Amino acid sequence: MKKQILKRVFSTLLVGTMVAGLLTGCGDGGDKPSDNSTPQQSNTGSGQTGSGQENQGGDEAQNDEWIADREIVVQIFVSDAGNALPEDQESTPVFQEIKRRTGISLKLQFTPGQNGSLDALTTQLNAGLDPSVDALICYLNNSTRPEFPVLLKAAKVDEMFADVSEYMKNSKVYSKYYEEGFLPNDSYKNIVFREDLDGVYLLHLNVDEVDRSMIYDPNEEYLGGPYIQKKIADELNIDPKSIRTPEEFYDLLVKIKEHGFKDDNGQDIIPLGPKFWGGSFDALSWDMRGLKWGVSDFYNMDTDGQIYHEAETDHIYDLINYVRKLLNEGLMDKEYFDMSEERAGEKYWSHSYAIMGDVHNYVDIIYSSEDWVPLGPLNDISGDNKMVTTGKGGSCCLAIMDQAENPEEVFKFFDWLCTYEGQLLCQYGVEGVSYTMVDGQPRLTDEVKAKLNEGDEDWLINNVGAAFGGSGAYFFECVLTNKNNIDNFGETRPGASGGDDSENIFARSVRIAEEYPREYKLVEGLSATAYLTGLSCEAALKEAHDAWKEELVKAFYANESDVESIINAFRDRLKRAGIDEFKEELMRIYNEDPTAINFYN
Amino acid sequence: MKSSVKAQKAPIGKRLVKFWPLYVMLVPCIIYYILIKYVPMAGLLLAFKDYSYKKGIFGSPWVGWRYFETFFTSYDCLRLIKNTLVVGLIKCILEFPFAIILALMLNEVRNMKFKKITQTITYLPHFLSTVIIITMLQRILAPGEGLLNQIIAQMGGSGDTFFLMETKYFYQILFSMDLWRNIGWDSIIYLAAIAGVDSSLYEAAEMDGCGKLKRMWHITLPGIRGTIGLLFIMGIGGLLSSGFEQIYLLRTPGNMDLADTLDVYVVRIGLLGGQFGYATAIGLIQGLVGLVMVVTANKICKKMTEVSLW
Repeated sequence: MKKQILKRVFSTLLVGTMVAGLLTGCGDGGDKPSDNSTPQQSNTGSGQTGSGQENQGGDEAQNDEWIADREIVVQIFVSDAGNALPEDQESTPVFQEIKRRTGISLKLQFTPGQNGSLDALTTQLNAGLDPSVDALICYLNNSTRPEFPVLLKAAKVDEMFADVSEYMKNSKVYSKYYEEGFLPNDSYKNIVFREDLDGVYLLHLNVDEVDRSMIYDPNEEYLGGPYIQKKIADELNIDPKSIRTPEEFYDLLVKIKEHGFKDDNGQDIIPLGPKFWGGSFDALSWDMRGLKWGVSDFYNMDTDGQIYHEAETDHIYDLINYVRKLLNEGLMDKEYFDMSEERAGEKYWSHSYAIMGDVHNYVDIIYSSEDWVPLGPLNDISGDNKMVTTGKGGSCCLAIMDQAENPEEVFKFFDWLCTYEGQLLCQYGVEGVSYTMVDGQPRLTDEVKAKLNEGDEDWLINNVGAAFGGSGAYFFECVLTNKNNIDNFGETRPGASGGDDSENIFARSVRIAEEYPREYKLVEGLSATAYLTGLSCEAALKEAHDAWKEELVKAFYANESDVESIINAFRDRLKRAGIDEFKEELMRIYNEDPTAINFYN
Repeated sequence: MKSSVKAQKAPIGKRLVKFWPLYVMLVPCIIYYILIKYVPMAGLLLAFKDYSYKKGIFGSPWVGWRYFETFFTSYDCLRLIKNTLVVGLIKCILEFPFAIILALMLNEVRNMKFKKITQTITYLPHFLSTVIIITMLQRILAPGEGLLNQIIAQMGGSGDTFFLMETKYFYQILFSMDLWRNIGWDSIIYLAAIAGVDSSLYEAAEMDGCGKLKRMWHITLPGIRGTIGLLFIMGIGGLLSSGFEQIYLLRTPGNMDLADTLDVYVVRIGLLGGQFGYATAIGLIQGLVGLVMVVTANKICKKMTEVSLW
């Protein structure tokens, strides 16, 4: 009997504990202290520069810059920006200064994802964003980016974004978007002022005030493409700049192989490796540039005046045969298209390849030693080695959420960030903390310069919180538009002018750009696939386009007898997907305006 | 015994009062199943709706069978189904007997220390994440510097085979990797079932002159027949589901003709492409096929072995 009573007591206690646990688990955590509960609370907490109430009182700057005493939450879908956020945003000088001058408590959120946060953007826009989010920022070079259809659907079908056209007209900076010629054609027609939208929902960012896309400035240039080990180039007595054609490139690879160079571990060097960031198809556009006929998203116009997908022409066999030759002769790593970033890094640091498939001068392996120098660049299909530019462009996109409380204030805040004062704060930080004014121009303090030169990003992000040309909190770089650093601040980016170059961690990056200058050529227009939207063949053809890179790689590795059948099967797939309808549409657009599509050969 | 029979026959209300602590303990379980397993089934409606975030699942317009038509008329449909079935067969049928064999072998080991070490070694891979296993595999199978190619080169071969880029090696790699990972873990349940076999049967068989193999065949295997049958029926349900991570990570342009399965397709086209409705439709097809397979396998099993789930 006693035993039974004890059993009941214990089981009742157990059940009670479980129910209590369950209820606790289901609770909303209401007791948890909120860091960002109200703007008033935030203000009280910001000790350095005084409270919001004080600001409302009559700070001189406040009259012009004050927006509202509130919080703005921004969801970031730019991995470079999301990975460079201060650990404690509220106590970072730039965030505090924003609060002091505008009243805005800025809160930045980031969800890591793959493909430059594309999957996070897609999933969150389809499943619904955190209701507290006021705006989002994502990658967007132009309307052919994979992010764009996702954004367009959210704007057009799901009506998730606020129409900012009314606020734009009288804004300080974004009113410029209405000026003729300020926005690139694609940004104007396809992103910001779309005819199928009844307002402005997507703001293209990072559009420069002055178009300098054709000007080569070594202080700013990112020199992408293949790089060769300097000692190998010296030993073979070749000038890396002289390698221009696929034949010359092939001969160089053969020479390297025949010479029998060894890596740091005593192993044979493979002449051509993948991208520094791992195996990828994209490196082909540098290393086999002269054989990449489909320059406009795999489309181009042939000598007969007709438009084709590269798979439909025999040009594709030139590329396939060339790559197969390199693979078969051991001149190119078999994992060129499929290698993890870690392994590629390990191999490059061990000098296991003579030529890096693709890297640029602002990557540590390049600027931290004298081991690698740019190769080429190789000629493209038109026979010159100029870099193609499509002119003025943008790189990110801002959308204010329909759910945001008072979207006008949110818009005003982003507009303010792009004013001279906002840009100064975003790029240089706070006066007296990270820069001082010298002859009317901001100049970084010695401490910040030293940290910049040491590459101490953590310090720059957490102790200042400004962008510093992308070396600090990158969010403040990508959120800007109407940039013109040369005219506004007297230098291309913070810290670029003055000082001892030998101390500058990026000194070699600039030196490389000076020693290996490049020329630009302007090819106007959009990639062909930008015009696929709305056609009946869109879905099937898009799927086929997406499959093409993999089909091509498959052809590189297939048995010789299978290559033709792979290409023929893909040609058949394009036909079934409705490529003829698409080509007709492209031809119509091209005939109306030959600069609408970026074909060249 | 008599009272327990009485208690079972008592009205539900009385039973609830009498055993209320036990029923309360059941509540979290029921809540879990309702919230996590049954409520989400309402999401299957997406397979017939043009989903809009603003309108929600119920407010979005109906599209009928559009996604199903799109899928069954798509270029990849047949290939995807075929590949998924083959991978499902490898995982559900081909790998099935190996865990039983391992359990039988472990059961015969008399040295307890050796047995425990062997068991631990075979269980361990189950706890490694797929990403780690695939990364190891990529290194082992890498052309030139990979362990396998080094061995081949030592033995006079070329040593530069890119195993992961060739279609012909895909199934072998998948089979070996999956078996290595799961064989130990899957054998636990059989070992437990074997432990439940009456030991007097073995003694009797030994006295009758049965050797180890005969005892295994005539006593152990029939003794665990029920467990084998149940696991087989449940495994059959996954025939049209290849699992995502493993195949996705193993997939290269060279082997994609075989590695493109429905699960990979759903993630690639459906979720990453934001086509939730389309992805749900394919998921629904997989679920329904799985259900039909389980019911069929259950019936066949019941008829042939008298073992069944219900």
